Amino acid sequence: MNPQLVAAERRFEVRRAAERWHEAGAIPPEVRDRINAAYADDRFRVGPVFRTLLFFFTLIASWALFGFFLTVTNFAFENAQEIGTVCLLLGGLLLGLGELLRSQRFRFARAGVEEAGTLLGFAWLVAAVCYWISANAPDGSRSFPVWTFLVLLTAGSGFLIWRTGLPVLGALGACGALGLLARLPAGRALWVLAGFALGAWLLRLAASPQLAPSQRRAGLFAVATLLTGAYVAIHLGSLDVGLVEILGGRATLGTQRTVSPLGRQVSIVAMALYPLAILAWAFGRRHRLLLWLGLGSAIASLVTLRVYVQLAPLWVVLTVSGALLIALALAARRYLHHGLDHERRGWTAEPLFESEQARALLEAALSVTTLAPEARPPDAPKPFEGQGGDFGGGGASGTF
Amino acid sequence: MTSPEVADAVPRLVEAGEIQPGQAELLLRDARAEVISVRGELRALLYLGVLLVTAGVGWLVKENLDRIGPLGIALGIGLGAGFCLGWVLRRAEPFSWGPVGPPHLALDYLLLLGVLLAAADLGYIEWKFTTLGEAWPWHLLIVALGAGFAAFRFDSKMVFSLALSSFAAWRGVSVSVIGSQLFARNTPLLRWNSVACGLLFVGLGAWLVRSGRKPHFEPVAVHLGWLLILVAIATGLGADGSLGQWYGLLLLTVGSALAFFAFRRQRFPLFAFGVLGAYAGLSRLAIELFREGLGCFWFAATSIALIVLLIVAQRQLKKAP
Repeated sequence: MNPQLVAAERRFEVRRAAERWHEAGAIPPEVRDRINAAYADDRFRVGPVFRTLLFFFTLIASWALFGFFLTVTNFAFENAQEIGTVCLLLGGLLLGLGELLRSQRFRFARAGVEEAGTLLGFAWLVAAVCYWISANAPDGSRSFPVWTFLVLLTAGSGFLIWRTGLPVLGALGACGALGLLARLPAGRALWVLAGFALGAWLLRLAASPQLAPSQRRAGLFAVATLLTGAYVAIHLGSLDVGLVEILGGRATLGTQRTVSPLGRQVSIVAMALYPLAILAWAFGRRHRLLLWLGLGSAIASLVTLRVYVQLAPLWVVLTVSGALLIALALAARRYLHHGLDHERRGWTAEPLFESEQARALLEAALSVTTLAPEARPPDAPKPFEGQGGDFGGGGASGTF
Repeated sequence: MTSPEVADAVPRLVEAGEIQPGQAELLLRDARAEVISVRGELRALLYLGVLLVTAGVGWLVKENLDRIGPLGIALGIGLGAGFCLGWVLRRAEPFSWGPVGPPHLALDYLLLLGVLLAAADLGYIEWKFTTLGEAWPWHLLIVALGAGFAAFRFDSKMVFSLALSSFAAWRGVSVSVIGSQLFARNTPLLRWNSVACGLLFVGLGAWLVRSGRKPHFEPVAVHLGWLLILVAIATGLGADGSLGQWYGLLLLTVGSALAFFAFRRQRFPLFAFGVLGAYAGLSRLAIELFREGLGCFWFAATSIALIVLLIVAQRQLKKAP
């Protein structure tokens, strides 16, 4: 990344922190304004709504141009070489556009347009190379194009993170790396090893002040992807269907697989230990991302347990799990609240510079989308027939 | 995530007198991730717990109707609702028309769970004992009014959104996945019911602000209202011939007006709704004129024009005092 862009990002971090402090009532508006002036930005930035709209319409424009090119040139979608040519042209155009917008001439940063341009441009360039290789591959072999795709995805993402700092490229690059490892012998074991070893190294790197803030975020995206890959590798379900082997091209979907009893035992134990290990790591390092991964994997392991072992009727599992989660949250809050200064070992349940307004609106939107009652148009018959029909109303949906 | 930039900036801001030394310690600890708030995570666990309990109760009733007596089910769910609402009553702050900070992290969620269980109980009692007879959907209105009362009393935006969605459900409009039911049952009656609900919610939001009664609930009502209106009109775009074009024109007009007024008032989520609605309406009007290739050209050209327009609008915003 060019030094001016890195400096602008660092100043933006301070301004964003000042905004959080102001929303939490820690500093008055005039102090926030003075901080903003002291850490002024020379970039063209937009808010989240504009950024989303600009990103969305850049994607629409790009795909529409793709369709238009195909129509005007009369290229056939089935012809890999012709499609590859269009992908190359448009991919190059979009990447160039992204670079131009980020340059000192236009100074776009987090504006949606240059981000969409870079991501889609990268995707089309990789697609172009893969299309050409597959068009010229001997005997229609797929192996070389797939290897090329994975290497380009990994290396290209790394290069673009260094050049542009787009955080989501961290996840893409990690996916590419996992794809490459899956194609090696003992791919499943390598996923676990890479998840923990690479993940630990990237976690340290993501705290380095040498990196720009966006590059640090890209590192965290990569950590999340790698650790999720490690969990998938040990998951009993993925072992049963051979997910890693399918992704590595060494098995096909739907083929009957025999898993040794020892393998299943190891997987079951690993699924129980993984969340505990990640949570212990989270508490030791005091890291929010690890906390989320630990909680998420714990829930996934418990759900998997219920799928494989019918401990109790579903309604019991759902109600008891829900009640336990509520009790756990209340107990954790109480435990932290009664610590010195309402915190224990650096963890607290008190609000720290959070945006309550944004959070409340998000929760209201979530409750509308997940808990709103099913509508009953006046002409519809009564839903409940006493033989397991849907029960709706007040959010108590009969389906889960 | 640690923020070395902020950690560097805090001592300089203290030296410059912008931040008090006493405040600086917490800001520094936050920047270095030496203290982390898990309030968000605890809220997520509480919300997930409410979802699971609600789903479990629904499943219980569905699967065990023939085995558990009706009184047992009604009493059981009622007890659960009573427990949650009793807990909330004991801890809630006195009523105020203004914002009231929750005295406990879990208050909003236990209130939500209590209201959902009470609504489920009411729905079950109505089904089993047919107290409302042919007017059985009216139980949703009772749920809406009850949830609305609870939302106002205990200052909960989540329960307020539930009240609005229950009211819409009474009118036959499901908002749980906005538009899906409208698209599936594409009838004029349902469409205009949805528009009427939307207008009512927008009007309610305006009244809340004007009267100073829970004005902070206004965004919930207004956002949901405009979504209902725009999606309802959008469902008419698929109609054949001139009717579809009329809906396109209506969507273009309503979307443009919403975008214009929302931009002036700097209500950017509403601005986004308006822009997307207007674009969909305009595209509906234009699409019939184009063959396949020119259709792609239309979307490319208009998207690029819109990108330029949005960038110009953003620059205007920054220049405005």
